[in-house]
Amino acid sequence: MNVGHTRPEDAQEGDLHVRVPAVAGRLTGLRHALAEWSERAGLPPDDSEALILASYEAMANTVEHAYIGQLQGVLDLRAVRDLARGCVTVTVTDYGRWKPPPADPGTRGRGLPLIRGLTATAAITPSTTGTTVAMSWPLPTKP
Amino acid sequence: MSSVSFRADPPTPGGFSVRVDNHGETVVVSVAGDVDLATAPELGESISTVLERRPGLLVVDLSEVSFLASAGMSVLIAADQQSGEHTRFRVVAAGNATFRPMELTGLTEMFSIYPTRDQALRQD
Repeated sequence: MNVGHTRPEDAQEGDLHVRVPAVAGRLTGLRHALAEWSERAGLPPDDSEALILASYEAMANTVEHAYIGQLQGVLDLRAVRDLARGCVTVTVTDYGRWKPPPADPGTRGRGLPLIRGLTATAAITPSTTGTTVAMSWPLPTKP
Repeated sequence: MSSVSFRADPPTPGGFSVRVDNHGETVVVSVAGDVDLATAPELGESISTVLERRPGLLVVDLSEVSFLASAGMSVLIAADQQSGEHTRFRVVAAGNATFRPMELTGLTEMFSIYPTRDQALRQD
């Protein structure tokens, strides 16, 4: 499926790496690409669903918040198998501003709690150039 | 009973649809497909329109929802708040796609969630 511009130069065989405009309309395609990828990676269905939803929330956060007041930004989605650590890692990177959650999010603000509920390891790294959200799930051990 | 289907065709990606069925004082909003950043606003508008009529009971049935993102959950929280004293607000959800995300974010503690539509309609 053509979901965006791939950058093969730093992607290894079997990894997923796409860069797309950070707009809501692109997220559905990325979600389906992640579903195919996590199935190929051999994740069990429960973890696969968690990966898809948590990754979606990280990307949705970028679409909603990272590029406020700017014309257009991009997001990078990477999904890699780390055989040495026995896990898969999804990272979502934007190049905008990290917007800290408000003290009272009202009816909104469920994205980050949801991400934290869906993965044991959620690392959110804001920097001067953007924000990276990294999430991991264990790969099943081979019998 | 009257029935209004919003956006019956053309089908949107993920097969998102909202259907509103009026049974007197009870209104059932049946949702199908993906409830995400792109489709949640439409669901919010449909529910909001229903709540303006102040039905006695509103059941939002997510049985056919295949994907529920936090944008959709925000709509449900807003609906619960808009329901106020005059409308009982209930959600039908079961399974990983809908119940699990609501459980992880504490929504299952916020309002009444039923595994089937029948149970949501029968309960006093």
